[in-house]
Amino acid sequence: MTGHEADLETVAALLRGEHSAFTGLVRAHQSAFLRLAHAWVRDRADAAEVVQQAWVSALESLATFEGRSSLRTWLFGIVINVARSHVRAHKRTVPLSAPVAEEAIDGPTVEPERFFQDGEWVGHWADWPTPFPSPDSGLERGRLRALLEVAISALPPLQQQVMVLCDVEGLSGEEACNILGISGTHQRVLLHRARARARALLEKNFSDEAKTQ
Amino acid sequence: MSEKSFDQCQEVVELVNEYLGHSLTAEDRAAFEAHLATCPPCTTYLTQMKTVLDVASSLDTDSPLGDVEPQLMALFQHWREKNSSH
Repeated sequence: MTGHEADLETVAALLRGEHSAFTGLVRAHQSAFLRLAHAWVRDRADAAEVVQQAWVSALESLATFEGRSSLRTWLFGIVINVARSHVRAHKRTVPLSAPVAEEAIDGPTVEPERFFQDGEWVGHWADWPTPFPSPDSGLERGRLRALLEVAISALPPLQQQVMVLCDVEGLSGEEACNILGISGTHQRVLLHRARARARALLEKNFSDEAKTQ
Repeated sequence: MSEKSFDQCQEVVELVNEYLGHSLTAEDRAAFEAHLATCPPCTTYLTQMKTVLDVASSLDTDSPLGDVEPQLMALFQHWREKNSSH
């Protein structure tokens, strides 16, 4: 069965009222929905409310799902729309235009002071990056996962959403653009900056740790 | 004609995502890899970024429904009843 056929079968099962189809869908997407919603509303309780409302909206409009995008992409779009409406309705955090301004900044993704600014070695590392532990060990992977969760949730909203969609959920850049309503160029810049910032936050942790040892 | 080269690490780190996404031209990719071959800190930077991507992709795990399960199932049940009454 192709992904498209599986999506249509899931929708048909939901429309038949099968609980197991709904449980499976929730298990597969609940954590991603919460991450995406949190990127907009910046509060765990509000994010949970948004996700619950998104499930209601998804069920209400299920009959209109035509399979032009994957079911997952369609559901993510609903979460984003509900989260945006929630922010607008509650006039929370910052105006919607602000995150775009905040995230559209050009400039280097690694602090210039990490590199020699003049002399023979200009542009070369002055302050070398601290290696991360290998994620091959289960213990270290658990630690890296916890740190990365924190790092991603600290990203500016749009960067956070692009990184969650592309790197955590594995969507293509094009799918992320369609869901978020941004251009391909903007998506690439946001993803580049998000990854660099997440890397920097992890590095700070390991570098601080190395200093105390 | 001389081959293209990336001499500065500061320039190389800005290309890491394009390198990982296979969107560098063949010429840029060769120059990028040539730089890495002689630059341990840029190699560390690339490894760090690969770790970020590897770990990020493992964050997407099926989550236990826990406390929200009864609420969500009630929501589904409500929708189901509303639907079947039409």
